[in-house]
Amino acid sequence: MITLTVTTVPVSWSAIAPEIVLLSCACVLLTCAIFLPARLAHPVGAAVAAGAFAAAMVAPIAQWHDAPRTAFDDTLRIDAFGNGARLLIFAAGLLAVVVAWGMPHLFDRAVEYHALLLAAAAGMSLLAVSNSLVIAFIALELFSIALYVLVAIDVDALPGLEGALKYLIVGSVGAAFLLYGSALVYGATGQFEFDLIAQSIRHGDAHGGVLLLGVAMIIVGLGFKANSAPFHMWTPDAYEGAPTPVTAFMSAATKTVALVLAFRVLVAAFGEDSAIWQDAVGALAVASFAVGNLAALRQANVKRMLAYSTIGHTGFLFTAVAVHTQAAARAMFYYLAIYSLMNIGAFALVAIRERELGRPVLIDDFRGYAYRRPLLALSMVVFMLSLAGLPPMGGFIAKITIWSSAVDGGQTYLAIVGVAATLVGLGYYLKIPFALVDRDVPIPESPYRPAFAVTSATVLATAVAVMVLGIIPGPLLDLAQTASASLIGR
Amino acid sequence: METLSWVCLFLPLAGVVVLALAGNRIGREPASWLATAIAFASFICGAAVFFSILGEGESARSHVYTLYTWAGAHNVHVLRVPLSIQIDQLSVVEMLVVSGVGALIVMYSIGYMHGDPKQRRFFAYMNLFLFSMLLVVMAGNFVLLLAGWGLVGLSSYLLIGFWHEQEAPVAAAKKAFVMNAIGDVGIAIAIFLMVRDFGTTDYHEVFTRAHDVWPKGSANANWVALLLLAGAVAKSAQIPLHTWLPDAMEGPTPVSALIHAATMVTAGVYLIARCHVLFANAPNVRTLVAVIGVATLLMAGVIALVQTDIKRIIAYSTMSQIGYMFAAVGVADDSAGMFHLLTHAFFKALLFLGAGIVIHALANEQDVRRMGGLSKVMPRTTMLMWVGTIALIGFWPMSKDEILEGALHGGGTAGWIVYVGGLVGAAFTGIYATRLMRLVFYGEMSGYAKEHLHTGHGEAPWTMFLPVAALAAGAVLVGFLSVGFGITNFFGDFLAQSAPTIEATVPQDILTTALAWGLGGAGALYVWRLYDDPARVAAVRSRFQTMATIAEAKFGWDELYYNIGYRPAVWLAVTFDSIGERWIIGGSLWLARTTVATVARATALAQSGIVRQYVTVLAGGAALVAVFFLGKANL
Repeated sequence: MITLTVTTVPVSWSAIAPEIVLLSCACVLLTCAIFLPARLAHPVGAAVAAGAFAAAMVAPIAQWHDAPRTAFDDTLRIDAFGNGARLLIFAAGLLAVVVAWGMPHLFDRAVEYHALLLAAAAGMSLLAVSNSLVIAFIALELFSIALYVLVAIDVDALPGLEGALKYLIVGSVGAAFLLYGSALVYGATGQFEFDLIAQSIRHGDAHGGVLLLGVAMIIVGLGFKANSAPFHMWTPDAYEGAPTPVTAFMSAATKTVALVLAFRVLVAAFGEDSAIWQDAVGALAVASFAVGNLAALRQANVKRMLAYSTIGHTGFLFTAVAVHTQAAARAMFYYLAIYSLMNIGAFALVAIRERELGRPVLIDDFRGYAYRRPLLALSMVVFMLSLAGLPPMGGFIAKITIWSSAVDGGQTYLAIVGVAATLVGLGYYLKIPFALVDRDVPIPESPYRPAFAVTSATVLATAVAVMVLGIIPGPLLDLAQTASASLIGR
Repeated sequence: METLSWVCLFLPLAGVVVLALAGNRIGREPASWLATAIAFASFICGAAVFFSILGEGESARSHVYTLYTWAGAHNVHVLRVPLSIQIDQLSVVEMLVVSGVGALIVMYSIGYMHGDPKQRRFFAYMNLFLFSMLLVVMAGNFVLLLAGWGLVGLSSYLLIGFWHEQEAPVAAAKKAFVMNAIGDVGIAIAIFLMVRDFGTTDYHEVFTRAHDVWPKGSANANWVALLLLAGAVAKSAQIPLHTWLPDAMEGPTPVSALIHAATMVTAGVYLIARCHVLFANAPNVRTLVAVIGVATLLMAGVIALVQTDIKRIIAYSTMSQIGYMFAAVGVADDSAGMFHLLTHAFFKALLFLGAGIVIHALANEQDVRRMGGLSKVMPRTTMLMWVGTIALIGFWPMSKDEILEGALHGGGTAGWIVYVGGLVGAAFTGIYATRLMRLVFYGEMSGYAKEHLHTGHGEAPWTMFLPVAALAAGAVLVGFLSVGFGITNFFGDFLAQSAPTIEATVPQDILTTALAWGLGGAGALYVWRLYDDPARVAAVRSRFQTMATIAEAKFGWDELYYNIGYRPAVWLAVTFDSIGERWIIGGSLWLARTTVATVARATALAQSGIVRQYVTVLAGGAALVAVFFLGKANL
């Protein structure tokens, strides 16, 4: 006889407080949207979203120094590692709201934009603390579906629709890999929770074919979300087609959460057998370095160039995953924070320029910009130098810490490839600073539409942060240290 | 005291920032006064620090203050270089010299630079120098020291080449910079050795552990001392890196007084005194310091005898006097060396500024042969210059005697070399110092002087005159800090905690003073009488023809460096350019660029935009990963 026992899981509200805040705000927005007059849609949406992101930050900050704990029957693990990722995601969300504020012409559906942004962030936030393959998949789908729609939110623009469709199709294949891999791992170990999987592997046969195939497929699924080559091909189309604020948010937040999950699942569930996946992740890093940096050299469209650049940056982040020491986790966190700031900053500038021109922005469109918008141009220089990894910007410290962790962790070849990739990277990042100071450009007849003060100020503040965090990296590195220590010991 | 120290250090830097940002929005006069006020404020802070140190117990006078430590603090094995300063007896003396003499000279510059179109920039540079020099003397670790060391080199470069519209100042500035760079490299390598063996560059830790880590006389101990000596020799214009100092006189006269007489050029002495532990650890190198000092003091003394440019005479005398200081620290009598540094800062700045008044009054003429008889028209300047000359010859203050007494008491080979060489040098000093006074202020006034002399506003404006008078008073008063003969030795006692000191006996004091005064006085009297009759001057000259020729050729150092340094360097550069740069570097760059461009084109072409292909690539990649993993399985 089969007895069915239903156990109720104890609910920990504090564990999912950010998700509750974000999702309820999203629901409020969607249900109230129909009652709002059109001219109020954008301000109200932006205000609610900004408020929600700010409120969602409260719990992770309050729990920052708490000891790691599990919740919902071991399916969530609330630690500084996940909370740090949550904070980065919410910060990216806030910045995405600000960037969108600067281009209101794009948004007939401002309410939907902000609601979907909140939903995506909620999914990411849940993913950051998930401790189970099932929860991870659900969270992943939650934010992926929101992003598919966000890419196509400007339904009148063909590139957006095309990008979204490609993202959806290729993304479904990627998600299928993740799901299939999870199923295989469950088949091999009988567990979904990361720590239990590790336990089961420790007692059983770690080299079983089913288990290994499962890990391989999970890595493929994660590689897809992290824009790693050879699973990257959707990236340029989706990034180019999506409205720029969406691109900015995707590039920063998706990257953060994908890397955090990759690090967590590989270390927490399969950490004992790191020798097996270490080289595979390393190989993906090398492929990403090569494809991202080489293809970026040929791009004329700035958003497309930045899309390939983000593939190149995955090389650095996967380097940290391959090394998977505490120092590597710390370096990865610092890298993700700086990367989010500088990438969103760069996309925000693209958004401002897009609005001025009323069409997609080419590198040539920045020619002589320094003589018309000196402060914005200076910010762009900061972002490009930081992305290229030059001192005194944050991007420099980010790369240095990754490299030093790779050398200390016995993965010197990744550091060497990373240096070579950085050299190639100079070839396209520096195009923009050079273009900015080009004097041989006629001054346009009609004056530009002025940028929105909030957006410009945010861009400047971001640039200052990128520089200051490069000169005084100590505090941020300390935070990254706390986050990494909550996941792994030395 | 901590706050005061930091304020003392950073005030001049704030001055630089304000003057640089203000640009043309601030008038020339206000800019000059602002720089002066900042220098005086810095001096007041320094003085306050000095008095609070005086109020402390003798064993508790060394302080290390840290403002900020850069990232990496939680990694124990990482090299940490905090922004820290060390305040002790040695550094506070230097702080007072730099900010005090510095403030007076900046004030003097108000009159001297009046009407110069780049007046504001000049004062910004002067403040930059003060900051850099304070950083050198206050630094708490070797990296900060080197930072200050490089920055004083930079300010020196900027100020020597201040009149960069002319050719000579630019050439002189470059020469100074290159010579100093050699020394900087020496210090940098010494720092590398410290990082390797100590894992830190903090003074305190390096000095306390030096004996254990580098045993006395070991190769490492010798190397470090030698490398630091290279830095000291370059900065202090000692043999063999001395040739830049005379050329540096192309800079404005206040610069010569401040940087190339009173403060920067004596930094080498400070460095050796600061690192006396490391030099005590390498006795042979310390002897070398003494030998270099004596050789330089004699050579520079001889060259000074035949110079005709008033500033160059004083420059060679500076080189010679620093030779005395090197001799002192070379026989481990660091407090005597520092005392000479202190008195020299006063009397040499005084001589330069006095010379500046003369040059100013004679429409920028610097040749002593075209002066003469100026005592009648410039009595006050003459009087002040006499104070400086008496100090230079060594009658009062008796800092030079103290060096010789220490050498006599210390004995040994180095001691005797210093003693004998120093006494001979005293005679030379008497001759060239008195020759300068005799030629400039006495005898017949030259035709040129009669024609060009303009003292319409008196001898000089009060802003120029007051600092010179203050320096003269300082030169006289500072002598009382250490008279010797068992009367006072306040200075030596004060420094004894942080720098080695030799206390000579009273008979040794009396003997040495008698000899030094006798030789210096004899030289002075001899040359005073000699110039009564031009025919006798010519006769003496022809008797020492060979020596004079050698001295006028400055012992051939410039030619030597031209042949062994400049020409091979140019040849190498040309060769590298034609072979290495064009073919190897250019070729490999071309190859790398072409390869990357080709691969990049192929990579970009792979992005077809067709979703079918995207998924195919994805699946192919997944298959590769799966194969990789299954390869590890023990099926």
